[in-house]
Amino acid sequence: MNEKASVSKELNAKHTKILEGLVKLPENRECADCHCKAPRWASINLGIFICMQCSGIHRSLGVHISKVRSTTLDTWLPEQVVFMQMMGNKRSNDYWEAELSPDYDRNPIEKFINAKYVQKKWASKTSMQPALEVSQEISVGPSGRGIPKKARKYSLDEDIFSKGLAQMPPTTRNRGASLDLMSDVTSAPPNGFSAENDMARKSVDATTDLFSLLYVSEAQQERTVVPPSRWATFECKNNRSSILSE
Amino acid sequence: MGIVFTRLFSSLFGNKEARILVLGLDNAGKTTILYRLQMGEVVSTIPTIGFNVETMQYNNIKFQVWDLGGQTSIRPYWRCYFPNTQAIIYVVDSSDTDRLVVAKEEFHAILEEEELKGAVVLLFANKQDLPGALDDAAITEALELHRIKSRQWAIFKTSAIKGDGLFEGLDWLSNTLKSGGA
Repeated sequence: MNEKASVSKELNAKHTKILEGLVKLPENRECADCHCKAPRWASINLGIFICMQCSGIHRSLGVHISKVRSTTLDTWLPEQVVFMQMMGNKRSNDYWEAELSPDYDRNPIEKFINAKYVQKKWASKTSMQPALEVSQEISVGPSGRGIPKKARKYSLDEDIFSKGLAQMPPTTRNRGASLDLMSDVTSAPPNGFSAENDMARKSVDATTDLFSLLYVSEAQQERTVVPPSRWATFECKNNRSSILSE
Repeated sequence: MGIVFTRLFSSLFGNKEARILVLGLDNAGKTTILYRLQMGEVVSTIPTIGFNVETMQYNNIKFQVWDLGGQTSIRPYWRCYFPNTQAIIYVVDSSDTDRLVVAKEEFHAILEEEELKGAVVLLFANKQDLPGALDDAAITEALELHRIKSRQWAIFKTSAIKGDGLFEGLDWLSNTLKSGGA
């Protein structure tokens, strides 16, 4: 527990690529809550992509409801990325908006988000809440204190930010050891997960390929992989049909 | 004569400006704290990409408070703001127990910064209103605050939403700065 695990720059780049791919999928092109275009934030425990505005609302709910990360500004643990691959906005909303009528007025959005995730007003009564217990965060290794790569794709806000910072004096001094790599990697996907899970296979080919890459690099790190019981939600064939109302 | 001295003294202190950095992991509550202190209101926030800066007068000290974004990849930019800083307000989401280890490591890295060696440190164990929030003693332990050497520091339980603890912290800060803590 709480062992220091570093995620290499390569793995981090891989994660960024996977996340970039995920937000381009048709199901993730709109914010899971307000439906505005091109969400670049995520709730890592709900498995959804959301816009910056809604991310602010999610953050206000507390981490016991929603854990928000940026798909471009934060570093991710492998299992968090895998969970996003497995969930996404469609699957998540199949659960959280199961009882919601399509013409429901979502304004004001704060109230809507609260009703949706805190009061669970429209959540499915027949399936279990899909969830992944993830913890900690990661950075990109010992040199993770560096300036973010120019090559990275920025959203509009981040673009402004990066331009603004370009005027600052360069700061290359290293803070020393990597810091936010403390990871408590007990909730990684179960062994053999990629082979068994239909949901992962169901994703587009590119995603599946990246998933296998991810899976390999994770294995190379010799992490302790303990399948948490909640992953059973995704493995249980009986449950799956009810989660995926497709 | 005494009155003149007192006025002179207070006007000197009145002009004293302290540069404060509000730091902490993303979603610790830094921006909410900044505006709660400055405007006395709970504002709705979005993630801070970059910074917010506000000035406020409190206990005859003019505070210039910088609230810096906490996302992983923008934390390296914190150090751009370190020079001439008198105090750090380090904010912790006391309910985000999964990330206390990360909060601890970031905190101790800040303390190692040469440019901040004279800065006093005020910690806010924030989000006490949320279920499962650890108290100040538990946060002190989790962040290993006993490791802090030769520096004035204090921790307060806060709820930026309710407004609890913030001004107690600011009282400590202004008294510490006045007594030459920084």
